[in-house]
Amino acid sequence: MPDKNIYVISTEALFKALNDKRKKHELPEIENSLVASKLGILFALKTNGLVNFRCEHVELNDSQLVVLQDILDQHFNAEMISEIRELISAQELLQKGIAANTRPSSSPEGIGFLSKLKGFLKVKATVQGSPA
Amino acid sequence: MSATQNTPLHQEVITTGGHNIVGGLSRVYHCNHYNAYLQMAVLLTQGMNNHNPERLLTDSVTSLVRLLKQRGYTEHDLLHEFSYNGFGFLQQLDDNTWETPNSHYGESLCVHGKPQKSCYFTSGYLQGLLEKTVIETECKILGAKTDKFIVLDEPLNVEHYLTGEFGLQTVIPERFAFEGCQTFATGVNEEQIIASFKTLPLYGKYGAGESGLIEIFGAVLTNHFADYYNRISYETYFAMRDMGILDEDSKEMFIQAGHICAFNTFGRIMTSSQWYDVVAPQCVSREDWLHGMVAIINILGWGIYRIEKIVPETEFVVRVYNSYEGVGFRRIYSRLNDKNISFLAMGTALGLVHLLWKVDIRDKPALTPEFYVNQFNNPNNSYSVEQTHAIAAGDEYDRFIVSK
Repeated sequence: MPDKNIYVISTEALFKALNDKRKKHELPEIENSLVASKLGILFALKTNGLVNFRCEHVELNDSQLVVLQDILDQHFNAEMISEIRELISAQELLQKGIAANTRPSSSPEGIGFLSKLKGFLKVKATVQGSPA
Repeated sequence: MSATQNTPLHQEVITTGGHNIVGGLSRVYHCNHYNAYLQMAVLLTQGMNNHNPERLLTDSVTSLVRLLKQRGYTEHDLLHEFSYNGFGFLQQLDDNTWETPNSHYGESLCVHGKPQKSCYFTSGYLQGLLEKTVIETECKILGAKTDKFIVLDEPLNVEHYLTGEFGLQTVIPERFAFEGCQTFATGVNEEQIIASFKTLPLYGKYGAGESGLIEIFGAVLTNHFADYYNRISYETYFAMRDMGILDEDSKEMFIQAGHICAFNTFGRIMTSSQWYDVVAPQCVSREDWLHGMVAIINILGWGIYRIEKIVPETEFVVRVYNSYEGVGFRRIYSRLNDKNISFLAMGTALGLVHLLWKVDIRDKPALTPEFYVNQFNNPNNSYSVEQTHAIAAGDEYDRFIVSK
């Protein structure tokens, strides 16, 4: 199941990456607290779930990562696919449940975050295809 | 209380109880930065079930224009007033097409997100004027030469929302003359400041070749409908609340709008030549600057601000009689229990303190977005704001405490 994967992201690193990206495109910075509020609101509206971006870390599943990427693109004018990929460390990638462990990496069921973003995360095969 | 007629408008501007009333509707001055930020906050709810922020931003003014027409406004009056209030120059191209070569909402309203058509207000204004559905087809934000609007042959279905009866308070204590007010020793002469700033050209000019914008203090102002702000802010806030969004997050968005307003509008006023001509010579301390800025706030139509207490660099307490948010709330909604509800005033009170006690506006820093993020709104050395009294909750006035 695609949403069995949980990715841990440092909010401080995420906000820094966002502002670096905006500055690169000559857009003004946005302060962290405002980014956190805006992300919290947009996440709740788009996923019907609460994620507190004021915490040091957030844990997001596949679908939520897709939403995060979409929000950053639409509401912060920052396409962040590669930056988010870098933020997700392999050590912090947790796996929940056992269903995903047995599914081949080439499974047509692979409709999660990784496949939706077309190779978003380089460790995809390790995570989804190789049981521990 | 006084009635003034300092306008080329056909309609009289009545100043009473801290409100500037034209055509029976309260008007408030706000800058492009506030308008941009507020519109962005409202549009956060795009795509939400049963909530359509684009329609909210559009229809909320349609209803008000209808009220003006009921009170005798002609088409010419409405077009004139559109410019006079700083929204730009609105003209008809053919039976079904209108444009604004210059417009407040079409020129500088893109804040954080991807650029998108932004002139919901102008569409709604036209809807009220024409009694037909209007949509924007081209926008300067997206690179068009003008903002264009087409009139659809569709009936309007717009809710009238100013349904409550709530009058302005007529007995307002004089400055420093109310129970609980600290004894102040300040040389700031509020009446003199008000008299001087009221002579400034705080209106746009109407006509071909005129921009219809109010460009002053390095900002672009509008003399907006107070209840447009109230409607779009509170409808969005309630929609967010109903969706289960943390109050902390949704309130921060709206309070932040006020904070940005203080930074840009107050900050630019306090570094302007007009300020240095009139106000600065009356000021000895930083706290005098607070008194001076509050004097100017009292001409903006936001209600009447009365400073209650100042402990330098520690605490600032201010009351607002007839706050436009509180009064508007009671005209649109039922009484509320939550007292932290006048978001604009909360943000501006906090921002005013930050201008003096967090950064020092007397040093004339460049008021850039970078300065806002890195200094003005940096969490280090920030103050917090609490609203202890709210007209929306049945109190006589709004009251705010800004403290460390």
